Amino acid sequence: MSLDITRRPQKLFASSTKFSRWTGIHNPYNFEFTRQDYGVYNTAIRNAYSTTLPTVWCDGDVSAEVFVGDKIYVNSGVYNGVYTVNAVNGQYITINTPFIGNGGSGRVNFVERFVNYRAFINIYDAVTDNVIETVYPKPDSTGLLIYDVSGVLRSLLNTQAQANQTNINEANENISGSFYIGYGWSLTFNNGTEDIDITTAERVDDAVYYWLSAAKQIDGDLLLGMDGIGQNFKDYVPKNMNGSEAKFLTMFETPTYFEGFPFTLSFLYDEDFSDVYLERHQQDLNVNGVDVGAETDTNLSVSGKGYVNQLKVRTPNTGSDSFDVWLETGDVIEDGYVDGGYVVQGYTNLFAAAFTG
Amino acid sequence: MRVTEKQRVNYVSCTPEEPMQLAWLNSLGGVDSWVFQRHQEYTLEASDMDKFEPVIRYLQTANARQRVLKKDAYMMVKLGYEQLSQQEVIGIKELLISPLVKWINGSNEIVVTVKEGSFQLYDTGESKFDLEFEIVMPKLYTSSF
Repeated sequence: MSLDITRRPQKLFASSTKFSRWTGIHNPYNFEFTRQDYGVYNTAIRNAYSTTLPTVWCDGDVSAEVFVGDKIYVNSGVYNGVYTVNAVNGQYITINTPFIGNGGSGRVNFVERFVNYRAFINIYDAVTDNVIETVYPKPDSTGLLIYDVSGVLRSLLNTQAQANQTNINEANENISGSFYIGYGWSLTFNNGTEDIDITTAERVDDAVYYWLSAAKQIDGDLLLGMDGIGQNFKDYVPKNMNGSEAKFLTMFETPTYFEGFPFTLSFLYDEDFSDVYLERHQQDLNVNGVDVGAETDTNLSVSGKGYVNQLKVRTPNTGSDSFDVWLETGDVIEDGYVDGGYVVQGYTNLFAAAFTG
Repeated sequence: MRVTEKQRVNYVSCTPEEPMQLAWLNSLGGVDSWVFQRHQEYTLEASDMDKFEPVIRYLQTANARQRVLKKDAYMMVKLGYEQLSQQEVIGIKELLISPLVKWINGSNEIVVTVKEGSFQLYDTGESKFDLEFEIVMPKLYTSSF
């Protein structure tokens, strides 16, 4: 018996193994789970059990868990629905329905025998590992469970205005963050004489997902179907790979910097830059769009990783009409990132050696 | 290795008259900003929040039929900008649906709201637009009975 994540809120970048796991929380942020009591290899006429009725071949011995007359849910090609059990023999269940062809692989759920089925999902803050919320949703009659975590994540939004920015880039922790999930299920098994409560251990998923206070709009690109980007922010996620062309989070095609006033561009600081610095590059342009002056680059602070960041820009030189800003990968982060208040690994041993020596 | 697109940013070196900078959270989760011109002085809009009618026994000693318990009061200011391009109007219009609009005044930031129905857009021809709208400053504290 299992409950598996069968669709994740992530989009794969072409020609890579890297995912965008950023989604706006004013759109649905869905995880899709599927309940499967037993897997099904196939469904066919099996003369040993019935010469006229289809028999489902399960991936385990079900004879102690399902009985003649039970209602079960079968998903096996052309057989998709709730059927009455006609006979049970080891891994084989004959169902009381006309044979309409062979059925492929799928699943079977014992909806009458395994009752009170409900999942539990723990949503953890990926920075503190604290549980943000535990929810107990139920799958539908087919075993499908689509759970939208956006409502839980919206409770993390902070309306406090961000203070004045002093560093080159700063994380906006009021409107973005990260999480991961753990999940499992419980049910009551009625074996004909007694009810037995069963609860599984939690499975913690190792992928970290990112949220931001944002919403994408319907773009009518129906032809792509589920292959479309949808509510994922893939177009805005920089990745440490060739061809990454992430957009900045601005609604202006060309924003405007007014001299003497603060100005920032917002971007997503992705987990993919754990081993390498990001640099802000800037090139001034004259009225004809031609480069003037030298391109400049400045390292970003890594403390903003995993959040929406606001990027300050350099004041352009006199005579500039516009400028280009972009991010590039910079130096490798040598000893890992050490936050304020921490000491590097091995420091205490070095100190001890020096003291005794 | 470049990992983002090259974002072109216009640079305006001359400050508009009576400047007032707004920054707002856009629907992509980023912060956009613009420096508008103040089109008029601050105005005060006040309304009665609660009233009561005092008991009057003798008209000759009464001086009011109705009294105000509390007032609601807001300061407002009209902002605008001229000769905007289509893409600039699209970007600025986001502040109408933003849940967080701030007036940036030096090192001070004050959360304001755009007055409902105040946004006016004028097509001046040649794909240029003027716009005007009112912002509502934080609600004033008023004395009450």
